[in-house]
This record gives sequence, C-alpha cells and structure tokens, in this order.
Amino acid sequence: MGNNTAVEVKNLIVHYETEEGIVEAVNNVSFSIEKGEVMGLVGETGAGKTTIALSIMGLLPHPPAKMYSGEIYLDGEDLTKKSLKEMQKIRGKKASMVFQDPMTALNPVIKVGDQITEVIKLHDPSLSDAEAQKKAIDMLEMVGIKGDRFEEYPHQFSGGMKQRVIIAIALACQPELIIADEPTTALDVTIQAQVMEMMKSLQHELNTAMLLITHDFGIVANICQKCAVIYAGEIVESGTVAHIFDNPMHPYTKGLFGSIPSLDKDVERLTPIKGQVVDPTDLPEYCSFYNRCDYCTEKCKECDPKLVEVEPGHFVKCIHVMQGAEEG
Amino acid sequence: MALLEIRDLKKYFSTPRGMLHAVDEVNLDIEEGTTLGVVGESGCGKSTLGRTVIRLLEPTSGTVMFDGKDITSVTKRQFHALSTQMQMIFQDPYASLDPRMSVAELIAEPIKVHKLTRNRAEISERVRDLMDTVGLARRLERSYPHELDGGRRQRIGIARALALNPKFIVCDEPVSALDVSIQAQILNLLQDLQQEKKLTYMFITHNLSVVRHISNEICVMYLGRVVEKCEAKELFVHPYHPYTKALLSAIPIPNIHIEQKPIPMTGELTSPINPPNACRFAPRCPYATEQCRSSEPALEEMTPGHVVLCHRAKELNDL
Ligand SMILES: Nc1ncnc2c1ncn2[C@@H]1O[C@H](COP(=O)(O)OP(=O)(O)OP(=O)(O)O)[C@@H](O)[C@H]1O
Ligand SMILES: Nc1ncnc2c1ncn2[C@@H]1O[C@H](COP(=O)(O)OP(=O)(O)OP(=O)(O)O)[C@@H](O)[C@H]1O
Ligand SMILES: [Mg+2]
Ligand SMILES: [Mg+2]
Repeated sequence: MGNNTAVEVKNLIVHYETEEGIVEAVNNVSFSIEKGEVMGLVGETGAGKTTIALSIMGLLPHPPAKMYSGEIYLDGEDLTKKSLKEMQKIRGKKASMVFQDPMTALNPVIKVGDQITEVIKLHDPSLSDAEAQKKAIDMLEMVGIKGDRFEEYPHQFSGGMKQRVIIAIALACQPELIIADEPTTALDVTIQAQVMEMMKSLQHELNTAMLLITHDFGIVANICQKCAVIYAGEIVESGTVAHIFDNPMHPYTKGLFGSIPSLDKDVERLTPIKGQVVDPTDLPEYCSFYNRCDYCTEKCKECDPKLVEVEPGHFVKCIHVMQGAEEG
Repeated sequence: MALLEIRDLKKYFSTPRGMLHAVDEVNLDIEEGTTLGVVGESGCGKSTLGRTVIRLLEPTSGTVMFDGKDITSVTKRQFHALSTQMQMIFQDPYASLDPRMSVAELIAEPIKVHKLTRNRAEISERVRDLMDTVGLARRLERSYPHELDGGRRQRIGIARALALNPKFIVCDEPVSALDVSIQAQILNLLQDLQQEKKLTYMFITHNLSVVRHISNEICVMYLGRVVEKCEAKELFVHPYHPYTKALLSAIPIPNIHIEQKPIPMTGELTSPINPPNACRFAPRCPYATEQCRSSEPALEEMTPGHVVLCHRAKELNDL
C-alpha cells in the first residue's frame, strides 16, 4: 500500500444469509482511494454498493450479513480487526458516512440544530455551548438552510433539507474518509452543485478521500477522479474518469451510458439495458451479465472472466475485451 | 376543460414562529392524458403541492377542480369515492411498502381497502393482471419487498397506484433511487401506461433530463410559488426566470470535457415563514432592484403558454 493511500479494500466478500437463500451481495471487490481523491461507485440498484460502504464503516448488520473475506485498510490499519468500540471511535473521527436514506439518519425527537451542535462538540470538546451553536448555525447556512430553522424538528424539513443537515453533520467532524451514499439524490441541482462544491473544497483543504456512491454520471464527471462500475457484487470496470467516460469498454457500462435521457436530443422512448436484474441468490458460474449482454457468445458461458488491465489503470471484466487486448 | 384545474391553492403549516408558506397561490391546469413536470429547490413545496392536490393534505385555501368537480369542498365521505381516481407514487419504494406483506398482498391492499370487490378469485385475478401490466413476473407473487431490487419495488408501487384505475397520478420522485437503466425501464412503463389508459401525471423530480423527456409542460417552483411554466422543451431553450436559469446552469452533464459553470446563488435565503411582500428570489437574484425587494411580481405571459413570475423578465430578455 502506497504512502498516499487513504483506504484500501482487498478481496471483500459479503453475503446476507436469509431464510430465502444466500444473497451474494459483494463478490471479491478490491479497490483503493488515495488521499485527496474522489472515487465514484456506480452500478445498478442492488449491486452491493451500500453493502461495501457499510463494510468499511463496520456497520454491516450481523446477522444476516457475513463477511467471508476482506481486508480494509484505513490509514494503514486493518479495520476488520478492530473491536466494536474501536470502530465506534473511528466512525466519529476518521471516517464518516452520509447515508442514502435521510429519513432514518436523523433522530426525530431532537431539534435539528441540536443534532449538529452535538457532533461539533464531540469533535471539539473545548468549544462552549454558544460557540458550538454558532458553528452549527453556520453549517446550516452553508448547506443553504436559513439559520432561524435551527429549533425545528426533522419532520418539519423536506427530504432534501434533511439530507443537507446530514451532510453538514458528516462534514462537521472533518474526517479522513467520507463515504457518501447517494448524498445528493434528494437535492435540486443548484443545491447539489453547492453541496458538491462545498465537499470538493473541504476535501481538497483537508486532503480527505471520498467514496461517492451515485447513479448520476453527471456528478461522477464533475467531481470524481476515478470510477468503478459494479454489477451483481463485482467490479466489472474501473479506471480514471477519462477511461470510463471516453472509452467505456464493458457492455454494462456502455448500456448505462445508453440509458441516460439526453438534454438536447428528443427520443420517443429510452433504451434501457434489456432483461432483468440477476437474482443475487442464484448467480451463474460464468459472467453474471451474460443474459443481458448484447455481445454475449457461447464462449462467455465457459468461465468467469477476470478483471484485466486493458490499458494502464483501466480494468475490465469481459472476455471479449480480454481477447481484444491480447490480440493487441 | 382541463382534467385538473388548480386555483389559488395555498397550503400553510403553522410553526412556532408563524405560518410557513409551503404552497402559495398556485394556479395550474393539467390537460387529460398529459404530464406536468414540477421542479424546484428542495423544500420549495413540490411534495406538499402534490399531496394537497389529491387532498392527502387539506388545503389552507383555494380550489382543485378534478374532472369538473371541486374536490376541496366535497365532504370527506364524498371524497373517499373520488379518491380512487387520484393516486400517488412515492420516491421511496422501500419506505412506502409494508415489509410484512407479500407482493400480491401489497397490490391487493388498495382493492380491499376501497372494497372494489370482495371476491377472492376476482382479487387475485386483478392482482395478476396488474403484475402483468407493470412487468412483474407472476412467480414473484409470494415474494417480500426486501427480496426485490429497487426497480421491482417501484413496479409494486406503480401497480398499487394503478389498482383502482385512477385517472390522475402524482409521481413524487418515482425514479430518483434507481440506476439509469432501471430508470429508463420505469419511465418507458409510465409512458406506455399513459398512452394505454390516457393517464394524467404530475411528475415531481430533481432530474432535469428526466423531466424534459417525460413532460408536456414543466413548472418551476421557488419557495411555494410557481415562478415559470411553459412547454417542456421550451424551458431549456428559452428560460426567463433568473432562478430557472440558475437551475439549468447547474445540471451535471455526464461528459468530462464540458466544464460546468453553475450560476452561483449567493445572498440571504428568504424564510418560508411569513415571507415578506417582495419577490422571494430577490435576495439571491443578481438582477434584483428596489422594486423586486418591495413588491411581489405577478405571473406574466411572455409568449403564448409561457408564464413567468419576475418584475424584470421582459427587460432582461431584451438585454
Ligand atoms: N439486511 C439485508 N438482508 C438481506 N439482504 C440484503 C440486506 N441488505 C441488502 N441486501 C441485499 O444485498 C444486495 C445488495 O444490496 P445493497 O443495498 O448493497 O445494494 P446497492 O447497490 O446499494 O443498491 P441501491 O442502488 O438500490 O442502493 C441486494 O440484493 C439486497 O437486496
Ligand atoms: N408537516 C409539516 N410541518 C411543517 N412544515 C412542513 C411540513 N411539511 C413540509 N413542511 C415545510 O414545507 C416546505 C415544503 O416542503 P415539501 O416537502 O413540500 O418540499 P419539496 O419541494 O417536496 O422538497 P424536496 O425536493 O426536498 O422533497 C418546507 O419548508 C418544509 O419544511
Ligand atoms: Mg444502496
Ligand atoms: Mg418532496
């Protein structure tokens, strides 16, 4: 692991063992993020993105979740070896997560402002109540909410406003790693741009690493340096944003780009990837994208392809691309 | 006559510090078989508008004419009968579905609640029909929501909304939680259903390329008010309101070679609680004048069908 690596995930395998069967949620995922770098994680609903995030944060629900293998290094230390108590400390200080669901992340019976103040004080106990409160109001305004709404309860806020509060809280403790799970899905684009700008500058200032889970390629293009595309619990393509946007190679990545409605061209119907999501309790031995792929051949059923480096830093998991690469 | 005629609709919430103007004097028509897109800042009142229009919330004042009937003045009981024709699809298929109910039970629930039929065979027949309509495989009947991916869960939400044969559906961020491929599937499904059943939609979203694709008309809201409304494509070609322009400038483009320059929005935010008698966007508007800070603009028609709420819209357009 390089000196500049903030977080490294190695061979992560996570299953959920349920009555209905074993959900193979994350299947041998590895990646690393440098300090000051933002990596985008995109992929279909149910592909395992949140599960990866929860694994890093030590927040997997056991049971039903079970981590079969995996090492997760933050700042050189393997988080999978930490006790619950140690992890709790790490979550407050070194790593923080913005959750996908703003409704569950705030305490409904505590005033919004008090919830932010609490985190600020946790981070800097030397502050007086008044100072911490003043800082909390600043944070509210920074995410575009009028400070006079400090005294209100979460149910009085719209979904997007709650999400902004959560982002303010995550930033308040100035962590080394931020995991943001669809942080701006509930926000309008102007506030989203502001929040992204705010996260970008803070991240730059503090050299924070960020894992950004999103469905929006526009956001990836805007703030990520790297991007990984995940399908059925596996990274099927990863590289710099230049690799992914200018030279997408995996048929799934191409299919995703083809599904986005255009802002200037008119079409009657959109073109989603054909077929339905694979059943994570019943993954095939071969390429899991096989039944939905426009390029599949009989050969694809012969083995499970490996993630292959097709150009420096650009990895693709598809035998057709591998053949292309081998043939030069 | 439009299927929906919303007149001077207001929804205020009382808060410790005064009245919060969530929806303020909104006037909108939605023609049968068309889609009205609703966009705007988070917290500007989109969901409240959608809920008030179908009377999930009681309006503070104003009227909503649905198919010629004023649904705001009918009694609760009379409304119960009408309410089958107006349904809602929610953003979060996770939170809005009872985890203890199977797919078939979830889809049957509205049929049972509204006592459309008590005959068991008829109910399961109807459930199967609905599953076919929204593209849910019949083998999933006995599955539970947590076993399904987001796209299939959203299909359950759509099937539930369709169960009562509504004419009008408020879609509140129905595709926001989905990946772009499943999003495309669901949008195609909504469009097919609209054509087949002549459905009318109010479609609330933050995704401007989605709203452009799905809508006939789009209205832009800011702090409880409609600030601009016009034909969908027109909004992107010829926006008038400074807020609309800021919004459009901030759309993240999935192209790494385009450097984005969102128009910055600085300045004080106007509180929705007892807002002053002024343009609500004025404190953040780069073009605001004394007039903007001291009087409220009225909606003005710039070109046929294109209305804007801005004192300076004409003048700025001529610049
Ligand atoms: N607590 C749980 N019990 C059983 N299965 C689960 C649990 N949590 C997640 N899963 C399953 O694990 C798989 C991966 O889920 P995960 O939430 O990580 O996906 P995701 O990529 O974050 O999806 P989305 O884009 O919809 O948020 C899915 O099939 C999901 O149904
Ligand atoms: N039950 C309530 N009590 C008090 N205030 C409320 C209530 N519900 C909503 N509000 C307020 O009304 C305003 C509009 O909220 P609404 O949920 O309609 O916004 P929205 O446009 O749907 O936002 P988002 O895009 O974030 O979903 C907000 O200021 C919100 O705080
Ligand atoms: Mg997730
Ligand atoms: Mg809303």
